[in-house]
Amino acid sequence: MELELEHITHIYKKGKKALDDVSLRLTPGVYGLLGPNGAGKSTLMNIITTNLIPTSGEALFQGRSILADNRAYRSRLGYMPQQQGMYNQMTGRHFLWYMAALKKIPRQEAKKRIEYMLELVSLKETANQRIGSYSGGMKQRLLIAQAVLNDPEILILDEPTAGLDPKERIRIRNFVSEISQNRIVLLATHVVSDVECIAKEIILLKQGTVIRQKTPAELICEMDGLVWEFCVSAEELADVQKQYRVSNLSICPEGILVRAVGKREEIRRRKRPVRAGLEDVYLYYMEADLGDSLENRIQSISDAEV
Amino acid sequence: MKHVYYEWMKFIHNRLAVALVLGCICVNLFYQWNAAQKSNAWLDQAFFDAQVDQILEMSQEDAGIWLDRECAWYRFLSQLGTFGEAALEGSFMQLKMEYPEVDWNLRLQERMEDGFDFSVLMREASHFYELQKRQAYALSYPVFLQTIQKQADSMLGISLFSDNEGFSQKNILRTAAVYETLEGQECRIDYSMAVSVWSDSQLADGLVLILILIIGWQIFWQEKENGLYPLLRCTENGKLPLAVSKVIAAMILLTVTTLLLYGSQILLGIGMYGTGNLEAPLVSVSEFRNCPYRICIGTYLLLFLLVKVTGVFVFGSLVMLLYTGCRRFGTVIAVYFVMIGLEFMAYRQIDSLSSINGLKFINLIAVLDAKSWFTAYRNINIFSEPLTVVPAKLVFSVCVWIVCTGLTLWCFCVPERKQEKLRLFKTLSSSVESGIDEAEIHSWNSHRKSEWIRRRWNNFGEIRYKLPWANGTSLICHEGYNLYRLGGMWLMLLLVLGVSMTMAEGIPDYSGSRDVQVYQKYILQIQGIYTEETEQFLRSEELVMRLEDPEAVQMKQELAAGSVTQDDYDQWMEKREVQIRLREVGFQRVLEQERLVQAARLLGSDAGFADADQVSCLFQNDNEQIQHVLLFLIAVIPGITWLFGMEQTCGMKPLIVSTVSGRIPLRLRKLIQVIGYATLLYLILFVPYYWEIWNDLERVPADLLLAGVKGYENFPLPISICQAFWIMAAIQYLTGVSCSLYIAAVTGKVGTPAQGCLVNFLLLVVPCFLFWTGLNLSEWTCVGGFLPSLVYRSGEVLYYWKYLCIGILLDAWAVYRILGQDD
Repeated sequence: MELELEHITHIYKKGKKALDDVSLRLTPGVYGLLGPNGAGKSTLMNIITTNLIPTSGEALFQGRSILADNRAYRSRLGYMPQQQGMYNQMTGRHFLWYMAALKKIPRQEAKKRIEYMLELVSLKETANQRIGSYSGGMKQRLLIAQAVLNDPEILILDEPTAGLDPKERIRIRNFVSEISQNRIVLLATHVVSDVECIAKEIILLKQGTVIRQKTPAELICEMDGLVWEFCVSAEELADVQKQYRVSNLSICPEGILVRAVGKREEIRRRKRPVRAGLEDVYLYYMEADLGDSLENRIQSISDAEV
Repeated sequence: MKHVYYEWMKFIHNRLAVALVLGCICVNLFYQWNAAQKSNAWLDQAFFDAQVDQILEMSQEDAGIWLDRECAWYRFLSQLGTFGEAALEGSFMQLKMEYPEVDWNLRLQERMEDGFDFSVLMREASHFYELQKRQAYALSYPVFLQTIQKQADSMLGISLFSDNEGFSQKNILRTAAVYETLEGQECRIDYSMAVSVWSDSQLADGLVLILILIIGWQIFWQEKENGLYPLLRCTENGKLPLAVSKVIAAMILLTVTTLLLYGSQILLGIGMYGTGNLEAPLVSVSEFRNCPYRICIGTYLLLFLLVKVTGVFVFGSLVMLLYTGCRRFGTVIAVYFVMIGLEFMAYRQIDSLSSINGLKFINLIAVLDAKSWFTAYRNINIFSEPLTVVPAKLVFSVCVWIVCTGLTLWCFCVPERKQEKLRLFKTLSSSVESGIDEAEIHSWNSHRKSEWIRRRWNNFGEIRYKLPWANGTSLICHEGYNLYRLGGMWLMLLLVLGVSMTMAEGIPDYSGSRDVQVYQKYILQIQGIYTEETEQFLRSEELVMRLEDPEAVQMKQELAAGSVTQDDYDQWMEKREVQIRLREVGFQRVLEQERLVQAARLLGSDAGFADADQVSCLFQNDNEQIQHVLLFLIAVIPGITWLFGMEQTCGMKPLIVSTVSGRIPLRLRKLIQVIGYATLLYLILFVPYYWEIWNDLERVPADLLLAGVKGYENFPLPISICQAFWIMAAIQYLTGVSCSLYIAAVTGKVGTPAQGCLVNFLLLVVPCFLFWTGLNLSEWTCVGGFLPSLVYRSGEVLYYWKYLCIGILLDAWAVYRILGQDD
């Protein structure tokens, strides 16, 4: 099973280039799609879900264009959009029945799947209540339930953990991890920790371009020698934050422990190298304040590797 | 002011709202221009002004003589154009005799040398006829004022009006006093035709009612729909200051829109006909003869605009209240249009002299009808005191505006629903402070009870959602559920059913006056296909009609014998002659119908006699039919816009579209539901109505040719009354379905149900409403499709075919839009 995006470019009517020659090859497993707002994540997902036709390039599933065999492709697709609003007048169960009808699931199978999904996302008790009375977490779980209702081979999740409390976040993360066997899961998020443990690969998207597609371990390894920790006083903190790409702050006996990303010569302080995390990776690529070009950063990683 | 500015900017940046406002202005201008072109096609403004200038230089007496002479001259010329030289003998000689001071031979010669163009001549004549009418009216106005005083004096002499404390006497005295102040006003003839153009504001009134809805939607509803109210309300200026600025912005926008709409109409009138003499008294225009104010046309122009703005403010305040008070857009629309319908019916149906005439004059529609403020003088009875209608309207307008605006501000500032816990806390805390307030506790308990009922109702969902349409994989059932249950259209159907049952009254029993009775008696005897026997019967009846009345002969003999007095005989004869005359009138109707039947026999042999009055109940009952159409549209638009806009409202469109059946299959099923809903509504509304009429038809053999019935003689196709009925019903039904498709396509195009509702109401309901009020837009709008019987009367079948073809093309576009969007 393979979903391939070949040289996808999409330009909106007003001339804004949302995607610029994006090529990806996705096989079963979870893919974390990371990028700041406006990076082109939603456009990419809209193209994969056939809501949008790209200006140029092609998306292929099992070697066939997803637009050419649109209905067959959509029958193998599960999509969870970003939560904006829902059918507030419907009950949770009715909503799933409605989605089952739209996904052309046979009645008997739909009945089993709906009950199973309600159980799985812990909404069985409240399934006959109106969606309008659900909390944000319940709505998210319901959206996930509908996405996997047809047992899809491709699952597209757009910020599934947005607005959830930590407990719910962990539950959903585990759930996604469980269901990701034998299917392609593309999970778009701003929250790096959501995909850090479960993603097979991370796709970093910036200004419509894929700047990195590697496993989390590889990305983290690349950052060796680029993440540092040092202590500063409270008075110095403001200046330090302006000078360096600070990825974390914590309290230490000497003052404030700063975690910063950058080349050895950039951090002109007494420092110690630390093991990088995925957040450092994200920060390193996405932070644009210091005027350092992307090419330079990738070059610096190559230098570090050398 | 900053908030007001932002509200303005929000409106200006909403392209749809701005386009609708501008579109309405353009439609209104085009209609006014077209109507003015049609009614005043004869007018050559320069020629007219030249004649007016000439008249103004004369004394009133000389002007009258000159106009009479010119009109006689043009009458003669028109006869010359029609009858040729034969007119020279009679009419020309008469002209010479009446006005010997003019050398008519010379004038005729000059005219012939200039060229005798009949159409130019008729146009010129129209100018003189118009001026003569104005002149005659100007001379009659002082007489009219004197008549009022005389009438008042004579009525006061009657014992019925002699009660000093009664309303009647006070009313007469006040009316006389008001018109006394107008004495000495001199009517002029140099006013512009533009006065009529800007006073004719039916279309603009219809459009402004929708524009109010659009402006209110933009300012009050959009943020509510997008869930922004909680965010706005929690800011420092988010309650009263924001509400006040919204109200101010709405009122400014309404004022500007009103001035643009009516102002452009005034400018159009002035552009077409010039300003004329703005200093001329308003009573110079014959339509304003009863105007009780000593004002000139220029002042009327300003007051007209002011009254329109007042009317718009009143409606605007009501709409603001509805938008802030109601939770669903459908409720806003339903309440608004039902209110307008009721007010309009009260304004139209209640008699001016009725005891409940207050409902007619103190009425929202009466407030908006600015012309009526100046065309009549009326007093209403308030505790035996005559209250003049105009100040009463003003007070009413101000009161409605204040109350509605106050309630709007209150609704905006008060949270939508008090939280139960907060309510309990408040109750307990106030109890601690001031002792236990039992009333409050009781109120809280009752709130709990309502909560209990709500929960029980929700639990009832356990059963409801086990029903097959909510618990299956049939998309069509789901869409039905979405439409009827979630969209609340089951309630709409019940309401429409109730209204339809009360509206289906059939043909009222009417035997009418003697002539109608005679007509009905004859039709009863000869109804059916026209045969030789029918013809013989009618000829023999004709002979009977010519014979001397046997009863009159007998009476004459009795008079001669002295058994009746001369007075009794005269009285009897007087009554008898009236009866005979009416009988002749009735019989003449039958003979006239016979001529039509004979003409119709050229189309087919099935021509014959049917009661034309009863047939008219089927094909000429425009008023009732358009009421049914209005109900149909008001019920169908919220349902379809909801069904086709719900995904957009909920933000679920991307998800739905990504599913297997989320595109064409889904829209196809929605379409089927739409057609089903339209069919259901049509059946509910029209079947009882037609059923009652069919049941009451007594003298209408349905297989006769329609063209043989009076009123339909122009219809060129050989179809029977029954076929005509079925064709009418079928076209009405198909128009209903086609409008439904169109509504669905427009909703898909504009987005949310609210926007779809507004656009569709503007495009479909407004023309029907205007037709109901008397403005015929059937050539341009869906009215023609809903009332195919108009073609039976006009006979313009070819034109109607073109119209149907355009309709079919629009439908094809609609279906393409619905099924093809996003694909």
